[in-house]
Amino acid sequence: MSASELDILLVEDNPADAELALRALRTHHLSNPVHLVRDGEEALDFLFCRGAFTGRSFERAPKLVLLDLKLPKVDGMEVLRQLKADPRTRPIPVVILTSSREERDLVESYQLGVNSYIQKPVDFDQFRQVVKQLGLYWMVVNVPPPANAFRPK
Amino acid sequence: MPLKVLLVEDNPGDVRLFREMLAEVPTAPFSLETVDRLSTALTRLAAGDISAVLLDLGLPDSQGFDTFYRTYEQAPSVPILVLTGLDDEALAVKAVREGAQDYLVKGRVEGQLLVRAIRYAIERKRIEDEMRQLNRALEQRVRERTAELERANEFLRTVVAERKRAEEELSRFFTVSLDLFCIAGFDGYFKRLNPAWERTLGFTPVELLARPYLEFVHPDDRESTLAEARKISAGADTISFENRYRCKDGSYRWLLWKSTPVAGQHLVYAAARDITERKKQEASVQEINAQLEAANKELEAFTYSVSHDLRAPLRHIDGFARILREDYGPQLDATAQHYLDRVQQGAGQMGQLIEDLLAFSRAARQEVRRQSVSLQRLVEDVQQALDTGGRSIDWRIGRLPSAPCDPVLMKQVFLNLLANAVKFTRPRQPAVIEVGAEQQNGEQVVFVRDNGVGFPMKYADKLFGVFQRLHRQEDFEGTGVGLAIVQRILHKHGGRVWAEAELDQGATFYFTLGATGPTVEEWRPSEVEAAP
Repeated sequence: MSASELDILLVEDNPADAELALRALRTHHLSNPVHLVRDGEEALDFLFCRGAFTGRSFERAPKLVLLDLKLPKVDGMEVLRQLKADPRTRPIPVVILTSSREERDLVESYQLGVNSYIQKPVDFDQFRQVVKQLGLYWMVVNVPPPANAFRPK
Repeated sequence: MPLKVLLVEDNPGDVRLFREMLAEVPTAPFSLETVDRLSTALTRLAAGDISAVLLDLGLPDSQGFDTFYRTYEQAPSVPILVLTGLDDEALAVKAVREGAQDYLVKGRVEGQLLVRAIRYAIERKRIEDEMRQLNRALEQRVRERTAELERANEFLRTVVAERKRAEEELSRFFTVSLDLFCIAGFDGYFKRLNPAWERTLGFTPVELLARPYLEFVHPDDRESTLAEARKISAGADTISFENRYRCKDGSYRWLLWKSTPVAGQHLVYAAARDITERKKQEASVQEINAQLEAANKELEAFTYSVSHDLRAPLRHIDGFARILREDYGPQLDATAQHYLDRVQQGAGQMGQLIEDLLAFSRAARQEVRRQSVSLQRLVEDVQQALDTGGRSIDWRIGRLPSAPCDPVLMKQVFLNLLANAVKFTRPRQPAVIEVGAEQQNGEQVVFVRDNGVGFPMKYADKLFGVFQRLHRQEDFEGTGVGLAIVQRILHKHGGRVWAEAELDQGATFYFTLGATGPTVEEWRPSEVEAAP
């Protein structure tokens, strides 16, 4: 795992939630390579290497996107839709991290191809546990898609 | 057998003469019997088998025409040949007119003539009788035929009267009907209308008959009405067709049509019903439905917003309280720590309230998807999954039937009831929880019974309300939503739930699954099968 590589893209509009998430990640030494974006549009610009992120390359995709559903401008579901519709971004693992446990959100997320769906626990200790588990799983246990996966034929 | 001929003659000379004459003709098939008085003759005739009578009119006990008459009366079917002298031939002729077959003048008769006369007399008499019979038969038939005709006439008179009455009846119905009856031509004009038309639309029949009926139809309905009229003239019946007719005051009434064509007459017979009120009701029902749907959508949006927006600040409260403790704990005194505890407890409890409220709302909104479910297995699954906090509980699960219900929702029912039983038996050693099924007033009832702390029955009606609790939070935790969910789910199944309890004496919760629940047959196994 190279420190220069980006590991996690955190899409979270609420600064308190962002702070808690970052703290939880930091507790488990997963916070350095996190990039925080504050709305859906910024997330799409980042992932599709445009706007303020024109200099980025698709091949240096994040290893994981932590995506909130309720976001300003473009909501999380739309971000997920566009991400999974484009072969250049489709391999990126996306975990939805949300307070919602509504069935329709679950159904739609999985229909769109989300890799994991996690409801944020109200209890901060539980939240920390969840962040630890998913960080370890996606950053350490899971084998990420190789660079070739982002060069569709 | 020779035919018997009776000779009534008092003159022995004449008798001898007749015998000799008959003897002259050996082929004569007659045997002659002789009597000399009328009385004897009548007696002999009454005895029968005489084929012909030779009758002298002058006898010792009867004279003249009377002799013939009485003989004829005695045996009208036997041919009579009157014997007469030259001087009274006129009398003999009279006798022949009155029914005698012939007469013979004594002294001018010889054997062959006598035999032929007797034969002819017999034959003529037979033919006469036959003809009489034929006549009688003919007359009988004429009479019968006449009677038949009379009956047919009577029948026709009844039929005509009946038809007239039926027509009057129909005409009365036609006049009195609330529905609109009409006969219309394929030419697009009404031909006949009942008074309901005027009552409904306000136009007089004359006004309605004067113009093509299409002119009275709402402009938006004319195309469909024309199409329907074409179908009718092609021979199709109208089963239910709706259009709007203009009233004299300019408003419109909805009519529902049923009609049948008579192609040969180029006519259609139709009945229409004014369904304007029904249409209005339908429209208002639709409006109410739309409102309900909108309200449901709003509720859903609200629920979504609650689940999403209210939870986030709670997470922040809890999260930052914890961080505060972690990072600055050593600098906080005991009171500050206690306040932090309170903040976190409050956040946790509110989180639980929101969770439960959302669960209740989900249960309320969820559609019941019925299938055959083994309640037995459901209870066993729930019981095994329950967290009893390491306590040992004496579970007594009886035989439970299968029932048509929603397995997910019914699992929630058992989960809530059993979790309650576990919770409220916490002070008991041993804790006994019993689940079973029984008959109550012809209805099958499932029960969950525990020997826990129970509750006073005067609060029983509060039990199933949302956020209603009968115990203090520090004794028994909870938000008071579990039983509200149970009740909501059972109501959605068409069933009910109730409880019996006594303070400190345990509680029993009963429920039914309603009319669509299990039938008696389905339930039987639980009653028959005892514990092994």
